[in-house]
Amino acid sequence: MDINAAPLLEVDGLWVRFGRTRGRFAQGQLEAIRDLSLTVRAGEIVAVVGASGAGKSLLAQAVMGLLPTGATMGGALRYKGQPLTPKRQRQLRGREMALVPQAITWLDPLMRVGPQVRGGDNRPQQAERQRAVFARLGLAPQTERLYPFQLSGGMARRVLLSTAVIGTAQLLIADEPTPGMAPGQAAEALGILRQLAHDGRGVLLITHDLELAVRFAGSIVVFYAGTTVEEALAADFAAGPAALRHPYSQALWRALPQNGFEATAGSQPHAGTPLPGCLYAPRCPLMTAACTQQNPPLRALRGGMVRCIHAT
Amino acid sequence: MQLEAANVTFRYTAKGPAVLSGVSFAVKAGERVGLLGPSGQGKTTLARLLAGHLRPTEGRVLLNSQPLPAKGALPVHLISQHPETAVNPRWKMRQVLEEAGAPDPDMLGVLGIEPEWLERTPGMLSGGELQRFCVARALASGARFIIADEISTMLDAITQAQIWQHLLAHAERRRLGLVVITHNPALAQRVCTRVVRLETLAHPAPNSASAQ
Repeated sequence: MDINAAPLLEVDGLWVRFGRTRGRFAQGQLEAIRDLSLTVRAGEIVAVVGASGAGKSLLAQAVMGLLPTGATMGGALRYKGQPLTPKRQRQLRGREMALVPQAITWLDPLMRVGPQVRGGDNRPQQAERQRAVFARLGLAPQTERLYPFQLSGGMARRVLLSTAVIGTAQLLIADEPTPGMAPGQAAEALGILRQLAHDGRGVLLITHDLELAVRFAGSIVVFYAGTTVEEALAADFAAGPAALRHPYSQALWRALPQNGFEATAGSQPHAGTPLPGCLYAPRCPLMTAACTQQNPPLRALRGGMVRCIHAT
Repeated sequence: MQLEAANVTFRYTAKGPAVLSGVSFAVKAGERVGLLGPSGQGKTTLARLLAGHLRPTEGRVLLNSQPLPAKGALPVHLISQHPETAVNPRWKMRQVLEEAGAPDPDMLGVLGIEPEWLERTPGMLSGGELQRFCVARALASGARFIIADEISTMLDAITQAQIWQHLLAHAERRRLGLVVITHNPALAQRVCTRVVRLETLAHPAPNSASAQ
């Protein structure tokens, strides 16, 4: 990671809310993302890990300007130092910024996957590029003639990944690109992302797979209940709980099948439940009365960031 | 009880390639069999055959040595790798759950399903949240065999551990048979009583089946 490289993407205090109706007339607001911050520089892979439903996919959609209708957002989003307005998002989307979506339902079910990956570009060199990307991702040549329903889960993910890899986008946001792939295929897919980063692009890798994140990313950002709770170097996760800062990150590490398979009780507070203090307090072994007063701000600690008053 | 695929071959189209060719596989009540293998080799196809979602081109799927019953609730339940494709997008989650029978409120708590989610449609929930509903639905369905096709790859590690410990406790208590499809060897080692690789299940000379 080159600290001095200019930031490609900056997310600062992002929040996303959904309007919802209660009964016939009453309306409420659901705060799905409360306070997210992160930075992606050219040449690096930043992995985002954390609880399912912590807002990881919404972050990707917010950056791309693809939030579901009914969502409102605030906080600062900047691309190459300039604010990302809806107009700028439309201009940059698919050109400067590309998304590898999580749900395989984003593939057009009525279109063969080859033309779909080429994105309407019918020039022969584009077909060549598509074939080269497929070959690299271990997709057989005849795959391009298949429809999405004929693909296995892992094949569909690789097709989704090729849609982003084939372009020239500077910023790639890969939302869970590897589920359904065998370990070797997943490593190959992330190897491609790492090479793209090496060539000067920035990659935001949203994943549940901590092991892959540790192997391929430079830094890891941990989300919990719509907030950033820790920013760490991948090496800190490789070193284990003692090197990590937030109790949630430590619990996440201990829950891996090879590290104890420990199921910390409880679930993250739901977006609808207002909690005055630290959002992790109800499950936290370090909780004290002070934790229930206010949600602590992010602070620097041991070369990373943490949102916890007890972390040392 | 035993669920068995006996020498099954499957093609998606009449002239297409055989996705599975002469595969035999069996799981007994109380067993938890891990099924490993590369992507695109037919693990999910085998899961769909075992659950009766597809019929084999050749060979048979047997429950206690009988063909799968054509009528009534099948005691084999498949939990899909893509929860967003396994729920009706226009239904509220309450309807989705009740499709398989009344949910046990305790189970919702253990699986971390918030009561408020029941009033939402699938589009308003994350993949991990939807998968908890699919697990709850599978356990409420009274199935004797559960086929878990990559059910926790889209979940964070803590949720994965929670869901599996819940599923394992149920499987143990009710002597369910489980087929666990996964790419994670560490997970297979944790949750399975034995592990097989798909490529070892086909009979020798798989070409003889396609030549007929």
